[in-house]
Amino acid sequence: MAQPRQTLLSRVVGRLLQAVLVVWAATTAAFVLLRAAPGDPYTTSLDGFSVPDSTRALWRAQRGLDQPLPTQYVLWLRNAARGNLGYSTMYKRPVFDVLREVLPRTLLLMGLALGTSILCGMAIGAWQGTRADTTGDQWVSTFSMIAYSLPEFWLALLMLQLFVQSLGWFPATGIVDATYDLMSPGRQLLDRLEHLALPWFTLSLVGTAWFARFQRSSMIDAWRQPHVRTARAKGLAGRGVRRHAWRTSLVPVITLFGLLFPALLGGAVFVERVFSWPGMGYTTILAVGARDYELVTAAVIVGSTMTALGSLIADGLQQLADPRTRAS
Amino acid sequence: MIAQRRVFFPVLLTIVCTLLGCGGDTAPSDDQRAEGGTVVIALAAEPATLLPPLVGSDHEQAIVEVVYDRLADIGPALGTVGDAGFTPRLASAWQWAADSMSIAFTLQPSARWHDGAIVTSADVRRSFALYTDPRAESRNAQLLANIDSVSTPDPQTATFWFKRRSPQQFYDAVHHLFVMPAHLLVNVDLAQLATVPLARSPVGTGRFAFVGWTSGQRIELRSDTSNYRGRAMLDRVYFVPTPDFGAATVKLFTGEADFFTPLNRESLEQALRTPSVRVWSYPALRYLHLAFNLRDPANRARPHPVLGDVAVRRALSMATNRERVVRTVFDSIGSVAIGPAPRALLPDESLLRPIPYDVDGARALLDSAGWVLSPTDSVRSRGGVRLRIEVLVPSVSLNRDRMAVLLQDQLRMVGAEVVLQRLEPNALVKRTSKGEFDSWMGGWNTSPGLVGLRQVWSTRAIGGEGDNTGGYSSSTFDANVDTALTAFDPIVARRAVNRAMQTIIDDAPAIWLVEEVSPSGMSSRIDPGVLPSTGWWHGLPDWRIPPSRRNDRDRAGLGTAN
Repeated sequence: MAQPRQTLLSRVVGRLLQAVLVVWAATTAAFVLLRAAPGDPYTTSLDGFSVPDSTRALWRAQRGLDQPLPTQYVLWLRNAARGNLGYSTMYKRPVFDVLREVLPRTLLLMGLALGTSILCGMAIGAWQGTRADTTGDQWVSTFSMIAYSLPEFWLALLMLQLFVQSLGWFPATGIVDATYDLMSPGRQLLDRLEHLALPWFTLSLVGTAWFARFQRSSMIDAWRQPHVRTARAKGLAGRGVRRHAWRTSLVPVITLFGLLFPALLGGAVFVERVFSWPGMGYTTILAVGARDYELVTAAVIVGSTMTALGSLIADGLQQLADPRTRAS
Repeated sequence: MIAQRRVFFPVLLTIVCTLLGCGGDTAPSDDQRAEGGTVVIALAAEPATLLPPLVGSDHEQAIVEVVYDRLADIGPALGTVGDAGFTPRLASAWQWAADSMSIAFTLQPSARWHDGAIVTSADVRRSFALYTDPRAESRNAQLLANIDSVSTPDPQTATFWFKRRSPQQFYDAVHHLFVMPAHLLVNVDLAQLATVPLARSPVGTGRFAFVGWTSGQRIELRSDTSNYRGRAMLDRVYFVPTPDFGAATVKLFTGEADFFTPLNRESLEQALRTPSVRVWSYPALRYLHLAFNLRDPANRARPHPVLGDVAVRRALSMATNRERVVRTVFDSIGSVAIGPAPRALLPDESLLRPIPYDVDGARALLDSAGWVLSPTDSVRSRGGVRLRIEVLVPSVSLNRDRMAVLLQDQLRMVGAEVVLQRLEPNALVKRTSKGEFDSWMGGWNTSPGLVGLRQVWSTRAIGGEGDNTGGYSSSTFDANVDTALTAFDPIVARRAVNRAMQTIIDDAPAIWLVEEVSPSGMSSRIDPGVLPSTGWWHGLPDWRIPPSRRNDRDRAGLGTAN
């Protein structure tokens, strides 16, 4: 009993170390590449009158930007290790304060989208897998193919045009209405749901199509597995067979879970912009344009950590679903 | 109105409201007051700070201008000479010293900060100190450079001491400085000025008081009902960041927002077709141009091999059908620029002679300057140098890109090859600031007083202390600009402006393309009065919504407001 536990522990520790390495590498790359790009936080704006070079030099010195790159990196690393993520030159606030506001909004949107994508995608894909090549399957496949190939920003604009401008069913942008504070609790709840609906739906649609496509092909493979054939030959009822096949088909689909995390994060950037959802994705894009070094680097830490965690969770789920991976 | 517009949820709303036992969110109120109403303004971006010395963009400026006060406001004619046209604000009166080296401002005795504290001269002195300390990172510091110090002989008097006499010294003292509450800025680390609580919870003396800022969502202001200048006509204003242009216009057209600016050409057409939206336009103090580099990018001591020749620059200007460019790209929301200052700042624009559109003349001028076509090449050359220029275009500006494409086509007609290079703004600014360019699609946001002429086009602005990246240098222009900015006689100043403008127009260091007009979409419920060119926000405290045009949003929360 002791030996497998030790193996599992060392495996978990190994994966965690690997994740830390990934986060460090991504962050270091972001740190170096952003500083290698033209401009800095105090570069003149495009059409505005500039301040004298001498004043700008003083400002850079105040933020330590006049130091050699390795010195800046060591200072940043030391501060980050102490939990100080630095100062956002774009928002003129500590980076931690900015992230504390924007991250939960992105997590809410991504969490809901991820959950919806998994549940709906698996259900649809499993349903298709057991009815492969029927008319219903072909219709759903066509639809999911279309949804899968649509860029998120285009889909978001389409939603805006259709459900906001033409039908007037939903509010255009934001998390809540401007007069939210003046609403009764019931209206506030509805207002939140109304504002959440379109970004959630937009982000979920692509994820659902993605999951459904993989779940379908995995289900078809599982359906042809010998143990499923045996179960059917032994007279197991339809639902029971489907459950067996579905469990078998889960393993490759779970791998997708880890991949969907960064994909959703990427998609959230566009969705957040179009719906003015003030989350981390869009904030990071703005920060890159403004050369807000410390905010971008902190966002990379968060993004890469989420991706690494997604991968870890996917590994764990895979082992739960497939005893063979545990044994190996 | 919003609840009526969304028909998807009414049943759910009824059920939830019944379950939660919630009533309507409006309270009985006097709907017939002249004052009242709520306006939602869609902002193109969220402000980073509301601390006056640190604000830089229009969306920050809009809020700061209605929460804080200056000592005096510039008049509608935008005159900056002496104190003519200025109206008292936080200062009730002012007294010039006999030698004009100081101005003593007497503060409004009834002025109070929004937290109830009395406004004193110590507030003015502290504000000046914060603006001008280089550690504070205020971009306005250099605009206050002529002010030596501020003294406070008594709590109601703040005296500004100047380094030298200047026609703009009054303008310098009042226009670039908002007065902030000193009692909330005690023991501030100037290197961390942006992090003071006041930066996100401003306390001013304006007719609107700050209520709250929910990051990424909204900033709320309410009428200061005990303001020394009288309350604002509206009850509430919400500023809602809406970074996506398309989403912002949808908010406007669906009534979710009451105001958005600027509209582009396409959304302007839609606004004109939407009954609930009215279009208001005001001239923006801004011009766009194709700026030439007159110095050789490889060696700044030498003239540019192509654009160093004034005949080439004039010929390129003559070959440009600016009217067509402006109509094609901007239609009715732009006019052909005269020179490096918008019309609103020019005293005698009709006296200026622009370079005419004359393609044949351009060809003849290039021929006479030695730039000739060979039988095998459609591009002119002289001494082995081809008439080829690279135009840097900021990738974020669709209008500039469209103009650049039109210019490319028009200049080809006279044998000039134009190569477009689209760059991300940081990369573009890096190249222009180092002089590593032939030309770029530039623009300048100007301010009253024509100081921008000196800051961008004078010889002293070449190098790191100014914005003359193209290296234009003319002693005639410099002398006339100096006279225009230092002459106390308005007639002398006007003549100098005209001479400076004509000199730079004739020297053609740029092709002056367009002066933009800022069309704004506004709910037809609102009567805004006049939108001044210094910024639409100046009139915000006087915007009205007549009682007959008010909707549910205007009535929401009444009884608790104020």
